[in-house]
Amino acid sequence: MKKNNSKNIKDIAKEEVLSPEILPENDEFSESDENLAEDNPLDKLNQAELDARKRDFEAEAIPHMKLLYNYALRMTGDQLEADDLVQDTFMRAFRFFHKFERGTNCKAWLFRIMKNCYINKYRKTKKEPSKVDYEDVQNFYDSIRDDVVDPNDLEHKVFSNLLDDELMSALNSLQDDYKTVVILCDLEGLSYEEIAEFLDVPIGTVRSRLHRGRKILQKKLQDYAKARGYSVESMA
Amino acid sequence: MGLNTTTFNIDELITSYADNQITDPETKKQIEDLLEKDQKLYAKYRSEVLTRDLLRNRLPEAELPAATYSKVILSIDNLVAESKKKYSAAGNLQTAAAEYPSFWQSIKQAFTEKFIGVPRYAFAVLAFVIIGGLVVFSGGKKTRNPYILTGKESSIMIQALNSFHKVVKGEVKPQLTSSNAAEIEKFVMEKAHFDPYVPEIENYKLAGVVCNEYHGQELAHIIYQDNDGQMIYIFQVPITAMIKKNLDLPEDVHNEITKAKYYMCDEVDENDCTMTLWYKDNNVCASMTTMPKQEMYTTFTRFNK
Repeated sequence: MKKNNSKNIKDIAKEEVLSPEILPENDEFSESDENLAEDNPLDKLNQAELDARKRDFEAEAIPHMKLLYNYALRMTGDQLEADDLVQDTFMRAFRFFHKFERGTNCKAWLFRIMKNCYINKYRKTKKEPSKVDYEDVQNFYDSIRDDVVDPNDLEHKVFSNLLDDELMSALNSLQDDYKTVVILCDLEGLSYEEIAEFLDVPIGTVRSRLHRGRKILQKKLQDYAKARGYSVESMA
Repeated sequence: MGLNTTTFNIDELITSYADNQITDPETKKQIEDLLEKDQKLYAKYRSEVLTRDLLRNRLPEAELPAATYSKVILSIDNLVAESKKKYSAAGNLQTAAAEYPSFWQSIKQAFTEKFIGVPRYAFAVLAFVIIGGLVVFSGGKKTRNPYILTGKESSIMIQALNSFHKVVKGEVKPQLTSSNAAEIEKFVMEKAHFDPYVPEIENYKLAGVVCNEYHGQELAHIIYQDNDGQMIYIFQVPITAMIKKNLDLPEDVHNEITKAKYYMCDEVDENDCTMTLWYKDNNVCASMTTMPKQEMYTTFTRFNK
């Protein structure tokens, strides 16, 4: 959040415009396996250097495996794919560990590798469920009535009756950009700052994606509730 | 978009407020004032908090499976071992290049001068005699799997092969005879202290289970049989056994399992048995059967979903 005490809230809001981020298609971690096999940076290390790298990697990177596994599990929605994604990420990270700057955020570094692994390998082959368009949801929220007193008790009741599968399915209906921030913030409990560092985007983008992601989720959850016979008209 | 940009971004600030990410007290106060005055905005705020809490409470953090952890550690170990091998091979090549004449010079020298008298050719001839002997000893049949041919006792492949032979010869009898998967699982949990994988195999019936130890490492051997007495035997051990170095798998086999999800080979013994290795849950599984490879592949892909 920018510090700007003298400004009006609306001005602050205006300043933090959305910055559309395009994920890099290729970077140092997105090399093909063939390239890695041909020019493996590990092959240049002697035995002592290899042992030292393994020791450092186990101390710096391995402790973050649980967080990465959880992210992978939510992104892929499948335990086996999550397992593969974690393994690919750590293999790549180990090969390129010389590129990690000591003293910087190793969790964020690993996360960026995982994101690239996911984009390069998994997203291409994964059957994606139909994604919800934010524009539709935006129109839906435009129609929120002013005279609503407190829809939340009802919403709470309806939502708490939803199944975990429906919740997962709603989460999976988000576009990857939205899903990523929702997972990192709502499930992993990371701060906006951390997420911004992970994704290498401004905090404003994190906030915007989170806002949109949650809105889409709400809409999706209400659709499920409707399909199960709950009256959700009064919630809107 | 229906809302103008300013309103739209205020909605986003409400998101930050809901997540307690606004550090500036003045901005915070302005948002709180707005929420108090604007019922519609307040409803949006509550709805956002509700969605976030729903996710947090209903989709809790998953535990990292021990098998995932073990596979990563094993793969790193293998990467290091491979690179060490390559590094020393490169070092040896450099030394050899300095010490020895070129390949063609060596050939010429070998055939024009002494042949057996040159130690490196003596080794080559000796190796040729040993391999030839093995081929003759095995009745000149098909080549055996190189990992089994060179495997040590601690190799999971060797352990599975030897145990399978003992079961087939009747030297090892099931400690529990049962066709009930739950009973077999319970038995392994009690005797070997790990959760085994006991799949249902089409046309095969569970026959029983044996648990034993190898250098303190607890193992399970699960036996299936069909109506003709044909057997599928599954050796199982927790993946952690490889981390502790109690048992091992050849690097190439591990890599193949990681890549293709399984490793399958036939001609593993004089009966042309088929061996399949794969990781399931937290275990390494190695099955043995007299079934031909193609048939086993079909069976395996059906039961190991």
